[in-house]
Amino acid sequence: MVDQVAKTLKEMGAVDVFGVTGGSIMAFYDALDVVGGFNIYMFRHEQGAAHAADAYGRVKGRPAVVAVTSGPGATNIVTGVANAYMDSSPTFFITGQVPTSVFGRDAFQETDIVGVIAPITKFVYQVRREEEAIPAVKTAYRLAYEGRPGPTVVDFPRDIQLKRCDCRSDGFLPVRFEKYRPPDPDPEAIDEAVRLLLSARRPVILVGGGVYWARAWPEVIEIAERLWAPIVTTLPGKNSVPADHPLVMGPAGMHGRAEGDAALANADVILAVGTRFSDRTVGRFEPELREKKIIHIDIDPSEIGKNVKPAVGIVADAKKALRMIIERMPKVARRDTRFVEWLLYIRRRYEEAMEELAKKIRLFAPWKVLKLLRRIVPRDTITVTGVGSHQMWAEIHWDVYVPGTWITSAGLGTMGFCVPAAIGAKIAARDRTVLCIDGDGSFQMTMNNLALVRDYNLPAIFVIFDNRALMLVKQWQIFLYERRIVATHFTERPDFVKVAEAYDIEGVRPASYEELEKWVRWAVRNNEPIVIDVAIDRETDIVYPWVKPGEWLTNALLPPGMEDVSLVYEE
Amino acid sequence: MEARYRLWMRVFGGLDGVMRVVNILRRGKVRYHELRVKFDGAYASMDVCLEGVSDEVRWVAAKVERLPEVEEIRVELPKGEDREEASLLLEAR
Ligand SMILES: Cc1ncc(C[n+]2csc(CCOP(=O)(O)OP(=O)(O)O)c2C)c(N)n1
Ligand SMILES: [Mg+2]
Repeated sequence: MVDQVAKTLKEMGAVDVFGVTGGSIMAFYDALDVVGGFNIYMFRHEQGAAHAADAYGRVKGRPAVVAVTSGPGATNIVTGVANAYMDSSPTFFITGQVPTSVFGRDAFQETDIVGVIAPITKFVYQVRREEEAIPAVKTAYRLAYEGRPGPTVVDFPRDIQLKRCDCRSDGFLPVRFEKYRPPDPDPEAIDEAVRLLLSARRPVILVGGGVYWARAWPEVIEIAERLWAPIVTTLPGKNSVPADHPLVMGPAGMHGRAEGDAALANADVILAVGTRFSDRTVGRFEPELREKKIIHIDIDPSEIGKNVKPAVGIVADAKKALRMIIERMPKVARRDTRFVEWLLYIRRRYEEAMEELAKKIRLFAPWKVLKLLRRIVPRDTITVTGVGSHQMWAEIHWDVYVPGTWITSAGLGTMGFCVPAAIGAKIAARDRTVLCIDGDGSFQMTMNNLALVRDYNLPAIFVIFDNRALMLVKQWQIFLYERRIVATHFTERPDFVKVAEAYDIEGVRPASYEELEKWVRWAVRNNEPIVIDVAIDRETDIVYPWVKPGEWLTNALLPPGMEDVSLVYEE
Repeated sequence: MEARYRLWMRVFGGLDGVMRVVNILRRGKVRYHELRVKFDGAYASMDVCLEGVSDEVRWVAAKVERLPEVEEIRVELPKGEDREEASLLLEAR
């Protein structure tokens, strides 16, 4: 049976397999070898395999295969599955399962993984009869990328894996795939959207990760240019528009850019595309957001009206809907440039304030490190992050030039994402530079997967923003818990340079920006992996701007030197 | 304004499919009055009577509709109420 499954996967082009083997999945691994043509990547922890597949799926648009054993193997992927679910990443998992004869008997390594994982998957199916195996695999694999992508799982009992079966079925499970094809945009809704946009005094375009999946950034930019409307993004939406376009203000939200927050906060009409309106992006939903007219375009009907009630909701492929809007809009619609000029003034003031702040900082300033890295690595470098203050610094200061090159754990905020995700991205795009911007806490959660770097020749650049702290939590302690620092300071262990050496990777601890630059250039030029331990002072590593939880965007905490700047626009 | 609604679905995948629907129902900010399931070969038909504001009911219905296991779904107001408004719950998306 497993041989036929392997052949099916090969026919579908799913030949990159990530995981850890074990008693309930070894028959499947054996079949991969018998059938041949697969690339098997031995991860050191199943969570790593899952995150790697997440990044791989985002880069390729098609899933890798994650294959793990039953029980602990299956439960170890749970965080990775949840992450892929929250960030709509095309991922496909096969979990081994104990034989059907011992189901429910607490057999060795039995876990009801279908029950565990059901609420965090786009689809999950347990194969109970051999003739279901191939339809289940084909259905789950296709569902992972059809429509809004997401994780899918096939749970595969050992006895069924081992059954002989001539039941070569070419079919699928009875799933209506058509429902994942978005309907054509409703022309009346499009007309209403155009009317709202043309009558807006300060229209703003809010771009989510969905714009990347729809390949709709040219349309977003065209509408922005016609209306001279600023473009702001969500955290995953950074992946969807080139940051060096003059109308892209960058992300808004809890750790958005000051000009991004100001743009969104002062808009009267918001054209929101491919975003679920996370609380992280808007700070709070009421009362300010209620006063704005929102046009919400999304491929997933369940997103519209979920967090905010739009004036116009359009379920459609973003590219198609935006094209229709463009067709119905005058070539030069309306150009009042004052709002954008004001936003660019805020940007300038923010950059100046940060430049001043950097002079007062001991060791490295995180944002200066990011700007230095950006100068050196190629424009199409795939950049992955961990979760914490370093991620927030990257949200604010890392410019994504090429859509599709920004991979971060946005929805779940999973520490430990960076190392394996960088490895997965490199597997998906071996010809590209891959940069992992990590925190010392995040790095320690999955650094065991560094073993794959040399094992499979996957040179990536790992930069650890090493503040010896769980800094983002510490920042909350400082501002929200009267500076009581509890369980957020690390000791000096481990030595990351030695960790790198243990995995046969160059490990360095630069003492200056010049030295940092030298090492990054060396790694890029020679296509060599490197772990760079960048020392950051945990006493001063406070991320600005910051919109405290439950606050509105204009109340963002700005860096010293911006006391005279208000984010409220006055005409 | 709160009202009572009836949600009807045809679901594939046996009890696992039913569980996946229930997982979504659990997260809706509505009250449940009745849940009936009938199995018929590969499919189950589920009948749910729930009460809540229309936005929340719409959230539940829209989320359930997205499940691959859900082959068909209808939302109805109980007898005597405006049926058209109920079908709008699924269409006004
Ligand atoms: C798996 C996991 N555990 C806990 C958290 C809560 N958390 C969010 S940020 C953070 C600190 C991250 O530390 P580090 O990776 O060193 O980044 P820093 O904030 O110091 O830059 C923690 C503990 C989380 N997001 N993920
Ligand atoms: Mg840290």
